[in-house]
Amino acid sequence: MSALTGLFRAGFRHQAAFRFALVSGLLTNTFFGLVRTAVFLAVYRSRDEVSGLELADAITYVWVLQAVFATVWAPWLHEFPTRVRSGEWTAELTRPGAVLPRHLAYDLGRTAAVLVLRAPLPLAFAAVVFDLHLPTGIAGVLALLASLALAAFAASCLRLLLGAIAFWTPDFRGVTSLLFGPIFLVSGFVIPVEYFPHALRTVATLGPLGALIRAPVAVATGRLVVGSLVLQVAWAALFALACHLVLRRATERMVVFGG
Amino acid sequence: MGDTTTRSTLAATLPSSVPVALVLASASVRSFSSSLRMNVLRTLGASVLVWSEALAVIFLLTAFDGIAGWSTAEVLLLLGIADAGLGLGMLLGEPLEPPTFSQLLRDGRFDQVLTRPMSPLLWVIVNDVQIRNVGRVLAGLAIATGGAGAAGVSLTPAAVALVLGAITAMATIVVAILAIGAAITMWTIEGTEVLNAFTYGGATLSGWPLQIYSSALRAVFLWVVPVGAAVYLPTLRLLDREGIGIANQDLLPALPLLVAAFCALAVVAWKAGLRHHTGAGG
Repeated sequence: MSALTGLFRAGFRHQAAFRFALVSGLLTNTFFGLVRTAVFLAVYRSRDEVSGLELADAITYVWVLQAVFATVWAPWLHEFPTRVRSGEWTAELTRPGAVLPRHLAYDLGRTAAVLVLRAPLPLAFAAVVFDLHLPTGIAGVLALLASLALAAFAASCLRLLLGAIAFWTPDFRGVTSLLFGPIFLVSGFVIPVEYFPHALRTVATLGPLGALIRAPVAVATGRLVVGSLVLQVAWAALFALACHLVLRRATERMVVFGG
Repeated sequence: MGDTTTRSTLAATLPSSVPVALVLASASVRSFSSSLRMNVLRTLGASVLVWSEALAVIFLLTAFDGIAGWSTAEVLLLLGIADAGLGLGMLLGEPLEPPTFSQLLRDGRFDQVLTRPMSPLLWVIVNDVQIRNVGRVLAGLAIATGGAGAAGVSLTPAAVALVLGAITAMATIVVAILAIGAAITMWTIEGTEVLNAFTYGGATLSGWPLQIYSSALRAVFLWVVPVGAAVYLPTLRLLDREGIGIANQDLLPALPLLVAAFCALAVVAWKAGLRHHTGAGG
């Protein structure tokens, strides 16, 4: 266990070291937040509520999304598959302990650094400038933190699954680039899933991708808090199981040519 | 290059090396077809990304019945032009993107470029054309065409020229932004994500009617980094719509001037960057 906490802390320090990237990231997130806010201010000008969302819910969605964006679409997304393709990753198999917990501990450390360093400022900025729908009580805040942590875990697993494509094909960038669009849309990174047509909305809400951004936004705005958290826990467990199975299958079939 | 040499040496020295040569030859064919397959996949992927965005716009504006008096089809016209322009700009300028250009500087490869009798900017651009951006261009064109058709724009030569002109203007500004970004990278060495706010962010912003933004945001993307002007002004003419404030059809003739002024700024920045550049390793 102490090895895993060590890896978590190392991952955290690794990602926290990029100060310049942090400032750039914060400015970029804030800019995209302003553009998206303008879109919702415009569409809600003559409406109070659409698909169960009020203006404050939509604006909260925008800024929670900007706050967690880099925890899902992490800048190191391609590092793992690149190491798999080069053969460098095989060194992981010579290290003591199970591979998956070590991988996740380090990745979660990096994700935690991004969350801690990049989420609070844009959210605080938005909360001052706009009318957000954020929890005010202790229970609500704790629920939001739990939901963000579960989303980060699901994102970490999703990145591992996408990266594992490199075990099967050296064209991993080609395959993942085909998946990014649909994942982006269905998880709700372009618009809230509430505005989707009914069938797609159900899939997006109950499916695994709902754990990434839909659930934290629902918890932040106090809609279906318990249900969203339960779904997130269930999907986190299934994500971890999928990672375990995929990684086992991948290491079984892997042939090392050199490196 | 190395492959060819190895192969010819083998063939000359070992009469029994024909099978080896065949293996090597087939490996090189496989490596080419594999990179071809990857390029095809990534081109499709870039296209799918734009279509996903368009789908989201359709869902949102269907739920809300348009935005600021603009119909879904009219907004899709904006989005298509913005994305086609971004794709065309990236097709030329992607090697200038901060992470790529930063790597070029840190590897010392850029120092070698400077010794060649060729414009370093041109070398960086043509050295690594990312063909997948064609996917973004084609998806953008298709969405713009569909949006224009659905919005009732008739397909006259003037309309086609307006769309192509808008796409060219957008692409030119994107390359200029990337050149400014590369100049900044010559100072910072580490690349900065802030440039994304102007390239990808600029395309996102200009994919919506400009009147939804605050006057400050509008002013920046009209006068300083004119991506807003490049997409919005020609679209106003196509749809024969009123703009907002000074950003209306009357400003359209000034668009080439705005683009030229921004390009001049980029050239000054790039030259200043080159003067400052002292090498970063290698």
